[in-house]
Amino acid sequence: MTFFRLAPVSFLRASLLLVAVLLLTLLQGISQARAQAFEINIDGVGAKQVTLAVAQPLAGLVEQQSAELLRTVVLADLGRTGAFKFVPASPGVDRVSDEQVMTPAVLDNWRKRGADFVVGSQLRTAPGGGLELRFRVADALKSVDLGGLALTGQTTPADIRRLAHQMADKILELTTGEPGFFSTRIAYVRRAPGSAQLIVADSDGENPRVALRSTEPIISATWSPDGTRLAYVSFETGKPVVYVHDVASGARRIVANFKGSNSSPAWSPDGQSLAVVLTKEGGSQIFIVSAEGGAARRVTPGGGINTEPSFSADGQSLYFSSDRGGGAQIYRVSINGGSPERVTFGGSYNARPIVSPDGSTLAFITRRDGRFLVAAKNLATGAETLLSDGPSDDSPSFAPNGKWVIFASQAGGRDSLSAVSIDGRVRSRLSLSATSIRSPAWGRLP
Amino acid sequence: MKLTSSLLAASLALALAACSSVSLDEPPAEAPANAGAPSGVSGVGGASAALPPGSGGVADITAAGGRSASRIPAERLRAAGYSAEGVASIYFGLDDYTVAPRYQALINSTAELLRADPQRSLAVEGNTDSRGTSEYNLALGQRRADAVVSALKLLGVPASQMEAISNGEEKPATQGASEAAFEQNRRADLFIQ
Repeated sequence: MTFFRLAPVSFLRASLLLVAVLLLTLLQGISQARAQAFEINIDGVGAKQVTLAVAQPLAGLVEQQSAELLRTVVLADLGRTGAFKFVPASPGVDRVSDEQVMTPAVLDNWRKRGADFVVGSQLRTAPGGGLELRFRVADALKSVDLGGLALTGQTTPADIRRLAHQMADKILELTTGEPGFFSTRIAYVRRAPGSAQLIVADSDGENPRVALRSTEPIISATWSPDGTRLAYVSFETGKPVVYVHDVASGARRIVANFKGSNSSPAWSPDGQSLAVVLTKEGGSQIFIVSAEGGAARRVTPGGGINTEPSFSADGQSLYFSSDRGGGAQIYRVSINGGSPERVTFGGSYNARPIVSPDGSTLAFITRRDGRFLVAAKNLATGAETLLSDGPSDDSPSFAPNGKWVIFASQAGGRDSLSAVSIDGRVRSRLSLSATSIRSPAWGRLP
Repeated sequence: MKLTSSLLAASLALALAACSSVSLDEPPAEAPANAGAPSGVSGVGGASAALPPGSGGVADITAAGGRSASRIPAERLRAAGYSAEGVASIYFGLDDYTVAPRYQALINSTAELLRADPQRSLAVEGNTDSRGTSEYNLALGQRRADAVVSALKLLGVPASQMEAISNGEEKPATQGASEAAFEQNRRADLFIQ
């Protein structure tokens, strides 16, 4: 199986990374941490790797279990990026607090053990009864204090995870310059014959919550830009209708229920409107409607298939798939209408375009040799990269930092979620053990 | 609806908002069930219907789909090529949405049934196999349903008696990724009432 399309990376390095992660999880007593909802298999390593030591947090007896969960989640988050090698830290022996980490002797010790960066932290019970976390990241080679955070939370597993994700976000930023994305949420549809559930979970699949349970299909879930609402298509009334659902309260509203089918919602960058696909005027046409619902304004000319709209970053154009040229290809049109311009030319089927948050890249599904794969196109240069192998990949969605694409794929005959870095080097498969999952959507920070 | 479970759900919603951890076992609220099969005549507009916030973070939908039985006598239906329940299917080739000549008899008898009584209505549901993207397939299924409706319009059936919708790849007749399954799923289902 070919992992990498851009530059070959030695399998030895990849194996060592996997072995290191496995060893670390064993050392941390992962049996004490709650089992992850996703089973994660990582292929590949990032282009640049840094060696990181996350020391054992300084914590009293009372906070010990919380500290273990915290560190486990931090390491799992950072490990999924493929950007780190980890120096093991033994429980009891390798405890370093945020106040100690910059001590020359401490840095010296970790530098000798191979660390480029060291994280020291402590976890205390706050006067009010919650938890107080303080951590600091040190550049071990340059002996520079990169900074850290002080955070508070409850002692519940869900809140400890939240703290861990924030900590991992900060560590990622400080050590690699990349913005963190572990505090985001994903949504997906869990499907079985005769049932569908819309699930909202943490970025690592934990804390899954059912937002909608139905005996009819749910498809095309997509997060609002502010990360508070999901738009999706539900077949519960007997045909496809577009809903907007406030995740915190559960309140939802129908935004498109015209005659015929209503589907394929896409949020405008300002979160005020949605592009949707309606069949009320013949064929499948793209319209724009307010996020509150109401009248729909048509955008695409002509008959036939026009679907899967995605806004450009400036909100002024829509990328979409259409059969106006024969088979499925991707086009761009101004939101004010006009002549669509064709964007894809490779192969006979290109669909499901999705624009990256910074507007620079288009991810989409392409058919090559009968296999449906994820591809990415640099919108400035036009250069295309194949990101996955198929055979039935669908629904690409960008992580908020634009560096990762999550998508639905198949493994062992079941649908699962996969993630790939935008350069194609690192892939993870997040598999749920017993169910089929579709329509993943990666949200912004809540 | 069950008032106590709505209250329970409402308090759970508040709990959710306060960021406590939520177990999957919490009882879901029941959202109001919507009306049954889509109306081919009035066509609901884009008016937004806000559901009450007390839905508790989870909406539990029991399918309102599943069409009611046809009022046309079973004998007439069978003679026209339909099942006793008023269902018939038209199958399509890969990426294709033209109605094959072998279905002309069914199209003719459907047009007759509909022209004979303006109270009768036809819902056509287009479907695809599972290859390709789900929304593109929803549009392709629509093409198939539209092709059937167009053929009937050509025979003088008023548009107001017909509605064409699509399930895309979401409601396969046969599960699986074999050629046989793909063939079974590339179809338009006709429901005549």
